[in-house]
Amino acid sequence: MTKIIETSHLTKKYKNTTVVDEINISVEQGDIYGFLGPNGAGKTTTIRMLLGLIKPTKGDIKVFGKKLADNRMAILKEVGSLVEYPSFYANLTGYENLEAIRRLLRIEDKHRINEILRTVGLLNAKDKLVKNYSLGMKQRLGIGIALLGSPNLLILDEPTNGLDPAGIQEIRELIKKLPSLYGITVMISSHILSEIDQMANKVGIINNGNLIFQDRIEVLRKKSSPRIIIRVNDSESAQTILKKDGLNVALNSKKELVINEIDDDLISYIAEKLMMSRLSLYRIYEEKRSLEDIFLDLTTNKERDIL
Amino acid sequence: MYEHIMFEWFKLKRQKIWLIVLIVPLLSVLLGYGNFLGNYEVLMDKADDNAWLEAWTQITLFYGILFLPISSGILAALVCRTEHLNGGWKLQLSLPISKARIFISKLVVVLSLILLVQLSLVFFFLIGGIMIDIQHSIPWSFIFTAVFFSWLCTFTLSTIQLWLSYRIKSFGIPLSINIVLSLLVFAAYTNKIGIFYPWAQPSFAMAAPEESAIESFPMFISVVFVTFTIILALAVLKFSRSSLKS
Repeated sequence: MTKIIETSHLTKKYKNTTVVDEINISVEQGDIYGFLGPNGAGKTTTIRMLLGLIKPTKGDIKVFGKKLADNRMAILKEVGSLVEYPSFYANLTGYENLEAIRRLLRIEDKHRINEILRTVGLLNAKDKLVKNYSLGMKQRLGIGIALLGSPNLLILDEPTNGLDPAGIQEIRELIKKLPSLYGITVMISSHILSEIDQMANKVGIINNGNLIFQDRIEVLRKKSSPRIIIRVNDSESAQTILKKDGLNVALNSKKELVINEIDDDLISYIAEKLMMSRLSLYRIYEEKRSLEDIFLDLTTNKERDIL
Repeated sequence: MYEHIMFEWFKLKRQKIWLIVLIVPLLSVLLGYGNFLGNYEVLMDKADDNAWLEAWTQITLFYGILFLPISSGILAALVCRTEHLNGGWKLQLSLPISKARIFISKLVVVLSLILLVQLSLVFFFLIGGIMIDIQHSIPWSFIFTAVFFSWLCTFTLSTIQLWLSYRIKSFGIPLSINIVLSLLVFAAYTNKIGIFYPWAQPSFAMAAPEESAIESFPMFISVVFVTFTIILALAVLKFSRSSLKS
């Protein structure tokens, strides 16, 4: 697989605060890479560095296998982006916004504008001044501007920010069809996992400037498989007893036993074992966890050991 | 470069730029002719006085010292306003355009607009003179030399104003700084090193021959050229190196 984005030890410090700390991002050809993290985790700073809008304090960025620091212009020719809030000229119409940038990028084909307007669903509003657009329309225009230069890589920072559920759905559908429609690689950031879950195939999670997870989304989903929680009167000795049997048991914050297996026979064996050891069994229950829970666990640093 | 300049030009749509191009010269001409007619006897005291030149002096008194530097500042602020409002800087800086070109294109647009303001001044000046029925011959070559050189003299000024408008997000602050610095032109007139002051240079270049504070014209033009080259190099360098503020 060709690496589209590759960072090594990418770091950004502002005075004494480290906003992005030694992160190694890896995005491959054809990926929809979901870049997740709570607000203020360092997503936007990272994306701004990927576009060369700000300079890293330390570390390297390679885009399309080329060093960004030395090939910024050549790289940006193949990148479309929407950073944080959509950028546009409010005194121009939607069509004129695209037309201005079409001229700037020297795209000969004038039909490309209507094609883009159709893709982002703004064909009917193309002659309206952008200042009269709704937030969702502005976001879509922003994506349209990003797509205009037929990029090979699309970087979208919180493209669903401030949108209502219907708007989010529209943007999601639009982004999902991009790789198949134009064969492009997409990096999209968000603080809401469920948004990314429905389109990304690879996920990177950033928290406090650290990349705490990066893998295929299936790996993240696996972590959401159900598990068994057992509450006993003395969880420490219960843990010791079960560990002697070679079972992988952890404790959660409520001092309950956590077992990542749900095999009936195994659970019944464990229950018997604990009772034989004269421990009082209060509850045995199955805990189903959503991806949101996993995300929260990862980003709040709680229960890291059991993941 | 051409498409960058056209891009800047295109973005000025519906910004009511024509208001500045028309109103500022019209106002200067009205005030100038008002002054001229009010003090006609004093101004036209010599037999060989040309009424056009005397009127021109009155007009450029307001225009050269105050209105021109202030309008070039407004124009610089206007070409940056659309960028500040809705993330235009971010958009442009993430497009494959060199930063130097972004800055220079904006400067070219500001300077072209100033040239339009200058031509509009000449237009109203001639109309006004014809209306009050000035009989003397129109000093064409002087007028066009004055307009052309004072335009050249706005290059340094505009570069500084453009840089200020880029760094300062608000519309009002660079404008206020600009007005204060324009008022200092009066001080520049009384000082030998006044010709180095970018806000004063346009009015020096506009003054009628007999009123001119410039001792040596080639010397003056070299000063203007050198200050512009230095300021432009500095501004482009600073602009290219600056990081995007949030």
